[in-house]
Amino acid sequence: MTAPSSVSLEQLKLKLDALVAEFRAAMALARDEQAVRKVYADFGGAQGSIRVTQKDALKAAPGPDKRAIGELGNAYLKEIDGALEQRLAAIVAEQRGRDLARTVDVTLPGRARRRGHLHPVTIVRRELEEIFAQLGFVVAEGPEVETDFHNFEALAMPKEHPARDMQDTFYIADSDGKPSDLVLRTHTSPVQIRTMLQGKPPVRIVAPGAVFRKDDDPTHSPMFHQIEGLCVDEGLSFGDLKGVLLHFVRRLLGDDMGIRLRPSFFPFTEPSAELDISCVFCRGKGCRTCKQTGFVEIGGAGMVDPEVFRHVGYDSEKYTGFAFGFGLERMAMMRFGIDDIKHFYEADERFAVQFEPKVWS
Amino acid sequence: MRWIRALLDGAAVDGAKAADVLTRAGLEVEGIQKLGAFTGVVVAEVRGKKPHPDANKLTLVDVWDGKTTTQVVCGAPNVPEVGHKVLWARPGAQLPMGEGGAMVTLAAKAVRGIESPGMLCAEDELGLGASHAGIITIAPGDALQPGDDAAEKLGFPDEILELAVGPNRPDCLGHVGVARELAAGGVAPAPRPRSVGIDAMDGVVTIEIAEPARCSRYHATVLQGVHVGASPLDVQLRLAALGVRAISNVVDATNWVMLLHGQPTHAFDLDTLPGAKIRVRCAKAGEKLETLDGVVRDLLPTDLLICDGADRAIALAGVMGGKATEVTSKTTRVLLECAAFDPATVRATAKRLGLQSEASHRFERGVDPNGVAVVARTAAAWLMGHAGANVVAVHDHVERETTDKPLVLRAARTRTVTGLGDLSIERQAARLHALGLGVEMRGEEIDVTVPTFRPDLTREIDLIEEILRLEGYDKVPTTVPPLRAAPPELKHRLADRTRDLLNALGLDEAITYAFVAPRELSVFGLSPPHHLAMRIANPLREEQSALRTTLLPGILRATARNLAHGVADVRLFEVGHVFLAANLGKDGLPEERRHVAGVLVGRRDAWLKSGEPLDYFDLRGIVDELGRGLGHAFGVEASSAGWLHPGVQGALRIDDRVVGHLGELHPELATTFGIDPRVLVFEIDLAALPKVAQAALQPIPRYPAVERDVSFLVEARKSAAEIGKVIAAQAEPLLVGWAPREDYRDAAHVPDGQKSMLWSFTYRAADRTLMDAEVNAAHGRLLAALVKDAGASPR
Repeated sequence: MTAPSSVSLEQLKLKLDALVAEFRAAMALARDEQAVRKVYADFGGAQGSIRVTQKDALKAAPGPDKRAIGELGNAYLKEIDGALEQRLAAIVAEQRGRDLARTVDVTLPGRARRRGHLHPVTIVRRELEEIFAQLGFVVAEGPEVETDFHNFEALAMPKEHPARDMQDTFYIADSDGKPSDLVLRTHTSPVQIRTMLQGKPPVRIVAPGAVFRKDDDPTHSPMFHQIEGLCVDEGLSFGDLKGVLLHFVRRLLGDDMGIRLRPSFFPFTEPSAELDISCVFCRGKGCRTCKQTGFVEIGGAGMVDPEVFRHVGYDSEKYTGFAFGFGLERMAMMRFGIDDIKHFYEADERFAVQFEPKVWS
Repeated sequence: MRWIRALLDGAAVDGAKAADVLTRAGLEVEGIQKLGAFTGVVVAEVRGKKPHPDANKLTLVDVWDGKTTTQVVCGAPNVPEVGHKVLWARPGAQLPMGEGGAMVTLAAKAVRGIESPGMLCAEDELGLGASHAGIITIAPGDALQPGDDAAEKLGFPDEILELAVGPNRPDCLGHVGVARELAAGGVAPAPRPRSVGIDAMDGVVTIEIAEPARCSRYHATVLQGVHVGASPLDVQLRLAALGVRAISNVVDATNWVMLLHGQPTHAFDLDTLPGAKIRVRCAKAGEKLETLDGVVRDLLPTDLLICDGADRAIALAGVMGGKATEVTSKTTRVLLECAAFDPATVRATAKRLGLQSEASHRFERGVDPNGVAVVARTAAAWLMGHAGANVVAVHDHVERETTDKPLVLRAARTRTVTGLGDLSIERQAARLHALGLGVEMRGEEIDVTVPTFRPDLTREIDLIEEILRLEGYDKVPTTVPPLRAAPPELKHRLADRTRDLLNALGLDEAITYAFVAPRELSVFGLSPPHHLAMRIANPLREEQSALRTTLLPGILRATARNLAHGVADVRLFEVGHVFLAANLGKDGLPEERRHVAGVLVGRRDAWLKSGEPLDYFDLRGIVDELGRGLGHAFGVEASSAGWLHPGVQGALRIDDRVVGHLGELHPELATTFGIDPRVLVFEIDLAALPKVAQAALQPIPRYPAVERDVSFLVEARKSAAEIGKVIAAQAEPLLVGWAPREDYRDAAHVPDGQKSMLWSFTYRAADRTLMDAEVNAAHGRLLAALVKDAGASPR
């Protein structure tokens, strides 16, 4: 290996000019960052031609020239560093430009994210539970197969009481297939009895759940759902019942709603009432749905009969109470405009996906 | 309403007004029906009749209206003989015979070439009923005379109110009781009691009651000289309007008083009885009776019977009379029964024999025992007037005295319960008095005497209700109960949380019937305690006679229905009770457990193309995420439930307890339910899930983790769970996670009976960045364990 011969500053400058021109040409051809860096390494890297040329010249040059040669070389290196930065910036800009030129058909549907739906009865039940929870009512539950005692007897409907005809009952078969003392509960009221037998007053519950009546026609289903309320305390009056029902109806359907109580008969409440609310379709003005009366019936209510208190061992002189009940299907039908009660139990997917809970604003 | 107005001394109250008053008083008015809206119809006598020359179904009738004779064409088959009377609508008459009862003006027109000035009327043409079987005919003895204006004489137009009377108000099952309610509601002064005096009784009736508990009073009236015939037209039309068919004057009389007073009566042909003796007793075992409808009834010792002097059964008390003693056209002597029978006894018999009638309905709800004499006298007087009868004997047998009930009402209690804080004692007393109750004020209390026609008023609270309903529920000021905090309840939240999670996982909620077909359960071949189902003794239909022990039949049936309707993707779940007849609890109630079950059929969601069919792992993913949402990590192990595909099913475990199953429904079972495609199902016993403690925050790692993958061949039968166990058994302190990433079984690349697996391992220390050397050491130990304990051969 021969030592590099000394060159003049002029010669070195010419050579470096040529190399830089070559570098610029190569750089212009490099299309991405990797290629750019490769070009840079070929010229300005530790083994790159410009750096090597400078190094060789330095080595060969006599002492007094070294400083000038060093400065000259550094100027060239600085030039190509600048060119590198520029080129890199240009590539980033070019890439960003290409990225921004991308388009999609935004009108195509998105990738399906399947979301399930609650049953309309569940939607309505939860809304009711929520409203009554604000008034301090706890959710209570009971079995769907009940004893005659809880379903009838303790609710002031002894055997052979004609009121039993109001609720056509499914009886559980005994071992001979004959009707036993067990029934499919005909209402959620036995939960009142179970709750009161388990604890002392005050009581404030709502009991939602499935109930069963031997009835099957376009407006009745052999299984449906009720929500029952019971409030027992000292000094409760019929006025308190009205207040709770009015609050409930207004929270659920709006502050312009009114209620109407009509005298009625239930064996386990006295006085008893049918509960009408302003027709949700005409807001009380009168329409076909409410037969021009401005009201539709949604449930029953009344003051707890002392006979019921006797069965559960509450002192009816000290405590009074009220109870109320609504059919959840009926409320869901009104709410969602459902016209046939059969829809609720057929689990047709085309039905199931149509209902969403109300968003409280 | 005509009848009601008569009872209220002609008070001016129409149907709408009455309906309003009754509704506010608690008698539900189901409808108001217009009756007999016609004009221009007169009574006419038939003076001659001959066939129409050109039509063999038509008759030419000469009718006389008291002045002139006119020939009318009639198409009815029952044109009466000369001398009888009919109702003739003259030209210009207005009849409600148009579409929907619209009024039509009658004009003279030709019928088959012969001019007919008007027509002879049937019930439907006058808006009196539905019958078009023939024209209305009037018996010769009737008080209606030719030329009489029919509407005026018969009291039309009128209105009928249809009431829904609750079982607590037997007194309102007759017009008298309803009139009393109207009076209390303020439309008229209270109706005066009417009594009919009957003299001349010399005969004797013997009455013996062997069942005092079931018959408190029996009133018998013997009439003779009875001429059985048709009732006057007026009576016939009134009965028809109230849904009772006129039969004969004697039977009509019993119905008439029943509709008036709510007290049923029964007429026996006395000549069919051996003497005027009545015995009331229960049936003997094996005894039979042929009832009026001609059916021979097998009787039970719980049936109450009316028997004659020879102790032969002649009627089922309160339910139906006997055929042998029925009043016929030949009857001349009648024994009229008016009695008070035990409601429960009548109810049981009527229900068992399916013989519920207007009479049994009233007895079941309780008649007024002290009203029988008045009712019997009313009926007897009616028969004297309309059937020429005279009374020869009356015997009122009181077996058990029913007395007016004394009650005490505290005026302050009324105010507390009703919330009507300023309701004066005087006003309370006046309300009760208006209902016909005796009242006497004593300080702040009222001594109340409840007459026996109101058996529903037995307690102070009953009086308070009467006062409140007459005051009006709308008069009560609205208040709210005092504040009470509500404690939380948990079971319910678990069910609702489950619903929300499954919604988020893409399943729609279903609610299906709790009862299913027995076969829909038996085909599952469930093991105890789910093998035994409760049965319904009186199901609507056989397919709804068993209480479910699994939720799957309902949603599988729904799945099949969806598929049949062209819905190809079905993802449903249900949260509901199952009923375990094998686990009977207190009172013999079946154990009820809350389950959740789901079904998936169809394809995975894919974008702009149809996805792959759903498989077991879609199901497993949903079930695992449901578990996590409820705070549990389900362990899944291969299982052998008969209702699932033998190779694609697993049991869900928490600790050592199986809480559910998941897998493909057995194809045979899918076929049974009419489902063709692959069905994925799961069912979890929510009641079996242990309570979950509130999760506390796990610290977020501060140092990086190191991932290492291992690829190996292993026996195909070796399950992921088994391999996982080998890894877990190493208890490497730095190993914080591991998971299978590949399970590859392509025969072209993997030896027979083997599979190729890739597992990834995550190493991390909580307090430092790991060094390669310590990760390598731990990873090496794991690999060695996989080789040794799982038979893996690294690739």
